[in-house]
Amino acid sequence: MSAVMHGHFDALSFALKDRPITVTYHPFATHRLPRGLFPFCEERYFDEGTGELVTIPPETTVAEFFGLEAGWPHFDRDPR
Amino acid sequence: MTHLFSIDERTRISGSRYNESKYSFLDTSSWPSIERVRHFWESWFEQYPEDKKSALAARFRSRDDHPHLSAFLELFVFAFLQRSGYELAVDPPSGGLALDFLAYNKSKEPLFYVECTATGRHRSQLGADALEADLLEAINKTPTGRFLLRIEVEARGAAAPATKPLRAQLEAWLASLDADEVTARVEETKRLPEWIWEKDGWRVRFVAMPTIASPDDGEGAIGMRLASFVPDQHIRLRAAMDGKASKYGELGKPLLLVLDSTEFQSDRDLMTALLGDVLWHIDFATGAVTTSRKPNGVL
Repeated sequence: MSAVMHGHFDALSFALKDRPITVTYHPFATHRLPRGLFPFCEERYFDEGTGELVTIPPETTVAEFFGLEAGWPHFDRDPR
Repeated sequence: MTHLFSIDERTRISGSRYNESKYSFLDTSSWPSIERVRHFWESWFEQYPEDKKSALAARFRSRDDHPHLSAFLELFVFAFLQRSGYELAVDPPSGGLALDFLAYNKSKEPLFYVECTATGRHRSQLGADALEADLLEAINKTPTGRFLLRIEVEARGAAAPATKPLRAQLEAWLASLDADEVTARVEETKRLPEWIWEKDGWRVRFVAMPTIASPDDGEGAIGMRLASFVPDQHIRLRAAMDGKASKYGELGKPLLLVLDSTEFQSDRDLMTALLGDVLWHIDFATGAVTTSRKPNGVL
């Protein structure tokens, strides 16, 4: 195993801002996955020099990544 | 043509019910927001390999959230890998097994494998939660006089227990106790009276706690519940990762494991699963407190 992507989301909530997705890289992976492949994820890896866990925030949101406009799918506009 | 959602006209305007599956609500709601969600996922599903569609759709349409989430996760991963520009093989073989995806670059060079796993409590476990909730509700309605109960469900049976005889036995046990006597004795022995009920696989430990105030106030019999919340999400996460990490042997390429969950899992659960349980060390001579990790993590 090279890295673990983890989140708590579903078909309805995947684009909401309060559902972060993280990628944690295995420090001793036989085959290393390059970092920075998934810009909507917070990345975590162990610095090879210090051994400390480094956290890099996501570059974009899942919604932006998929080209969805802010607030999509607009639950607030539903007639209730 | 295979679809994820039914093509019926929808008129439902009510929200999701607590005991309703994720798919049921997605498929039946007439809210415009849900229609956007359906359209979004149908459009990605259209791009899924034709020969894989029916199996994925069958799991996606499950009324059990676990297989539904598992199928959704595969579609989500398919979507973000496609959007990232990778070429994909779905269900690439490895030995006698198949992973979920193999991502290639534009030159058809294989880059990395992806395996998806939904974790969390299965329906069978959720059913047991519901049975226990019914049992506790019955116990809570039992008249307990000048006692409150501390309860610990130590084992769960496979089926709903008959609560009427349990309540009768519980009432009889409590009637055999004298609250003033118990109060006087506990100061000496530091122990409260206990009673264990066992039936059909269920085992419940009751402790009678005398109340100083007036007789039964009708607020419910249960004053304290032990182990009502077991913080074991990290154990399920770790088991899921462990199972996948070593399942395929040497792949020759990186393996990305993608995990989603039907239950809330905190960041601490994830890091405990990955790095190991937290150990506390106290130096009694200096008062210094340090922490380390037990070597039972996945990493």
